[in-house]
This record gives sequence, C-alpha cells and structure tokens, in this order.
Amino acid sequence: MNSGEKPLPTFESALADLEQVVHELEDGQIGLEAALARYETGVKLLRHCYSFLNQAEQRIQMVSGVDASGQPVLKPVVPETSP
Amino acid sequence: MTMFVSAGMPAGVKVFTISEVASQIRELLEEAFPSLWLTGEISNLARPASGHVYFSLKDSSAQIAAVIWRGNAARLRFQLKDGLEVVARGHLSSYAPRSQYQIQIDQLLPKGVGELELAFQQLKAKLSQRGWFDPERKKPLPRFPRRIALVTSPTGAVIRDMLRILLRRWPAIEIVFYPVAVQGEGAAREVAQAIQRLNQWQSADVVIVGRGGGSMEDLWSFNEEVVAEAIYHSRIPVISAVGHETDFTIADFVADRRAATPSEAAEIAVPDRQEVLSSLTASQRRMTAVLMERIKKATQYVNQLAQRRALRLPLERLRTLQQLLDEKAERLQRGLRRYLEGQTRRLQQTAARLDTLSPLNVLRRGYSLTVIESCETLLRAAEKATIGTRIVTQLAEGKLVSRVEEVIAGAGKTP
Repeated sequence: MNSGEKPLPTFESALADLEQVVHELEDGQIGLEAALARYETGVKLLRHCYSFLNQAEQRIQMVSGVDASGQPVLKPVVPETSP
Repeated sequence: MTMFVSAGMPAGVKVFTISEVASQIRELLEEAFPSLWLTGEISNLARPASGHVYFSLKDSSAQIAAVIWRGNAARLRFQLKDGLEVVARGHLSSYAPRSQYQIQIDQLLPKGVGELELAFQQLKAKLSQRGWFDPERKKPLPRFPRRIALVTSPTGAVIRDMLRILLRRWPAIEIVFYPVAVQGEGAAREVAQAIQRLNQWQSADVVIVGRGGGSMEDLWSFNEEVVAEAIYHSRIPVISAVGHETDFTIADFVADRRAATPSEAAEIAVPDRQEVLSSLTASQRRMTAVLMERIKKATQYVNQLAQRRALRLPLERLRTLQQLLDEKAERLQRGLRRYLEGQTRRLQQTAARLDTLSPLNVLRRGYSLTVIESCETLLRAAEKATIGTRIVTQLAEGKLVSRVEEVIAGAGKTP
C-alpha cells in the first residue's frame, strides 16, 4: 500500500471478501450488530461485483510491430461479429 | 609426368608423385560412386568446432569413414549419437592428406523410425531429464485474468474462434493478439520471440500459444527447442494449444497447462460470466436468509423477556422500567425491520437488473425446491414435515413426488 487511500478492490478480492462475509454470517458466531455490519459490507461487495460484470468493456489490440525503444506498437482490432 | 628420379632406374619408367596417385584414386572413387544409399551404425562420432560432423558407419564386419559438412549438419532435426542405426545418402570420395576414403553425406535418416518422430522423442527425453515438465514448476493460471495474450496465426479460424469464446465467456477482458507464423522456416523463432517480448513488456497475465490442426511437419515449430525454452522461461503462465486432441507437442509438455484445442484454451483461460453471476446471486440469497432468521429469533427473545418481567414484577417503578424496555424492544424491532426492508429493496433493485435471477438458474445448478403436497407449503426445515407426508420436489427438469420416511431435525442457531 503506497497511500492512505483505499483503492477499489479487484474483482477477485471483492469476490473472496464476499465469500468470507457469507461464511461468517452462516457460521453464526458473530453478534447481531456485527452481523448487520457484515451484511452491509456484503451488499457493497455484491454491488461492486455486479457492476464489474456488467461493465463489459472489451478491448482487443494487435501487436503490429516493435518501436525503436523495443516497446510494442499496438493497434486496436474490431472483432468480427460472425455467427 | 615423367622425370629423372634416380640413377639405376630403367629408362622410360613412369614415376608418380603421391599427390597424383591420391588425386587419381579420388577421381576414380568419385566417378564410380557419385551417389549411393548406405545403411549402418554410427560410431566414433566427433563434432569439432568447425561444425562439420565426422563419424564411422559400420556393420558387423566393416566400416567406412563418413562426414557431414556443416550446412547439411545444421539441417538435421534429430541428434546423432554413437550406436544410432541410420540410412545415409552421399557420394564416395577420398581425403587426400591421408588417402582415406569416406562417404560425404548429404542426407541422413534414422533407420526404422521417422526423422521427426526420433527428433521429438530425443528432445522430449532431454527436457524431461532437465525437469522442464515437472508438475511442481507449473505456474497456476489466474482465476480472473485481466489481459490475455494470444500468440497464433493471424489467418484461419483459430484466432476468430478464440476471440469469440473469450468475449462471450468473460466480456471484461483485454486481449493482446500477437500474430506469428505457426509453420515453416523461422516460425519457431517467431513464436519464441513473441513469448519473450510479452514477458518483457509484461503485457498479459496469461499467454495462449497455439495453432490449428495439421501434419506433424505442420506442427513442427511447437516441437522445437527454442519454443520450449521460451515457454520454460516465461514468467507469465502459458497455455499451449496445438492441433487437435490427439496431437502432443513439446510445447504442450513444457507449458503450464495444455489445452486439447485452441478453443478449449480459450475456455480454460477465463471463467464463465453466467456461472459467476449465478454464484453471486446465491451468495446474496444466503446472506439475506441468514440475517432474516437471526432478526426473527432476536425479536422473539426480546418479547419473551418482556412478558416474563411483566408477570413477575408488579411494582410501579419496575413497571416503568418494563414499559421502557417494551418501547426499546419495539424500537429495536422497528429499526431492524426498517433497515432490513431498505436492504431488501436495494437488493431487489440490483437483482432486477440481472436477467439471471430466475430460480430456474438455481435449479439448473442442482438445487431443488420441496413443498408439502397437501398445502403447497415450501419446506425450509425438516421439522415442518412428518413421517408419511407426501412431498413434491421441483427439479430443473420435472418433479418428484415422495413420502417422508424419516425426519432429521437441523441444528438450532444461536439467537
């Protein structure tokens, strides 16, 4: 962590956190108030996961060459919408 | 050439120089055997720095010196070694400095086994010996990759199929397509270089290398050591997908994961969005159900407590306290209910946006719903049924009607 600000979790870690919340709630070891707080966290994680899955921003690039400094020259590709 | 060599020799005798004889013998040999096929076993193999290869070809009773010049030697796909039975084509000549006759080979094939087959077996044995195929050194694939690199031919169905499958299963993906030649001269080097550069650029968190089906000759690039090396040294996990189900290449053995076909590689590389959505929905349901149950139990407990105190403590002061407690209990109940309703509404709004919330999806994944046949009450707890009750189980496909044989109560939850 390089700054005090909390970055948005990756999908993978959000999903892992959500699974942990569900597990804790089902386990029933935490108090009611804590359970409510965990539930709220779970709802936030769910919303994050859903919005990630719905963003669906596809990006396809093709390596069309290598520039003088050895870095890739990328050009966007539009996928064919064949049946 | 005749010349005066020594006194005492008969006049007119022809005296040869060594070089003359050596060169005439060489010419005779070359004229007599301009091209021949020869079979035998390799022995005394030597590969000096010049790149030429020297050895003897022998059978049980004779041997002939053999040489393969550098250019031809570089084209050999399999490894030469002593004891290997081979068939050679070449011409006979003589090495003048030692007047040793030899076969100069321009084509060499292993005996009894295909050239490519032998090369494949040799490289496989060598890399296996080095531990390059060990399962312990295979890197795990990321569960939710963000960028996938595809190293394959820009033409043909393979790239189209992979893109289609990747985008269908996991739309939130970035794809870097690195086009390469996948067969013919130089193809192996192109594939290897692509893998190296993708590593250098850190362009992806998983790489798929592959091509469609073809002959062993067509797939050969993926059996070359340079490709094996690139895969072995890749820090990015590599999925190898070459040809069809039955084609195994060296690349497949070195890769972190082998896919039977390029399409399968695309399916392995990314999760399925629909399945992930279904599991999210299930988590949402489970979370809500557990919380509802706990709130119900907490409410009952508070009510019980309030009633008991009302019966046993008639004193005014205690009545006041009791009233206070009742109010608090009611407020807690109201508060919880309001909170829960709010959360449920938010969940429903999220859920409404998804087309996957149908209980049919849940059923399709193997869950089922059970109701009591007579009153159609949904069964959530075993105690709600009694022995002999007819119950109807709704499956994804059809229903089952059964009679309860035994009731096993579930473990109670703490309030």
